[in-house]
Amino acid sequence: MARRKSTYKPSARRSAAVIAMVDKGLYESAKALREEIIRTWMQVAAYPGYTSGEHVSSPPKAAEILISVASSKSGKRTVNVYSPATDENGAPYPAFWELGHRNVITGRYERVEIFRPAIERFSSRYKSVFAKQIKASPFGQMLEGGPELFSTSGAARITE
Amino acid sequence: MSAKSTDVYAAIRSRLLTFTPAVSDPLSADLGSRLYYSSPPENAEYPYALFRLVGRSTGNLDDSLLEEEGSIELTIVGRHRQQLSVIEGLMDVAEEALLKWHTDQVGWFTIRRLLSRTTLPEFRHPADVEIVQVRATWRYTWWPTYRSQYAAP
Repeated sequence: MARRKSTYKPSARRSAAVIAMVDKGLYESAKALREEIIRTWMQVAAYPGYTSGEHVSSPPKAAEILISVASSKSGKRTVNVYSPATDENGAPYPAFWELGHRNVITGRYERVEIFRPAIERFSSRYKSVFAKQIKASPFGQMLEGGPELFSTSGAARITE
Repeated sequence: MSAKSTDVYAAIRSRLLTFTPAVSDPLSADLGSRLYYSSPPENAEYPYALFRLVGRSTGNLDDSLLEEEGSIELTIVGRHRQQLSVIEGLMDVAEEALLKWHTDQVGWFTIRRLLSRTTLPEFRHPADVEIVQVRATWRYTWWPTYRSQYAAP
């Protein structure tokens, strides 16, 4: 039996509208994640110094946690949340602490994670933040299923 | 049997240290027994390795709530920058050891895939600049006996 070929073709304008909607959902999710990261960082900074108590770290400013422009990667839209912060020598110290290092001042292995626990805590929430944006968009309101449709789709992801 | 988290740490540690690849030595030839959970003891000799389980949560597709998903993070650490190729070679062996590895000694535990492998960039002061690190993560699925024992009728 011959199959009829679908003649449906999404218009470029409609595709652009969907991408813009997804990007807005991702960006709002990334902003909420940034708040979670800063909250985690401030909890750590509430201690006197990272681990030794001798070197006090100030909490980060929102400007030290950046959100990249959305881009396509392997067929998915991706937004990165990252810190470009460096010390006076240009060293990206948040990376040292996040990944672990041997600290020549304390003389031992040091690791204090901020991003990973914040992402883990946020992972159950970001889909609802994302879905809220989709639901609020004109295109999203046309979709049957509303936020539930997107809450389990895994259509978007946030990376470190 | 009621396999606990510490049992799965022991199983992963044993697999990594004792697996013998076809064309090189097992990790224990270079690491000895210096494969630590989470952080090394003070004054640990180089090279050493750190591993841990992160992102542990109930499996997404599991209605029974008995399955756990998460990642194994392994970091191999060496000292002196010319050791980097040696450290890379050790991670090659670790990759072989965990490729499609599974065990039922601790409840059904299986490695699903390698998620990432990264040679970390050179750190700067106050980090020790001579340290070289290679980090890899694998996704795993586990049916821990300490959970699944409650599924028995």
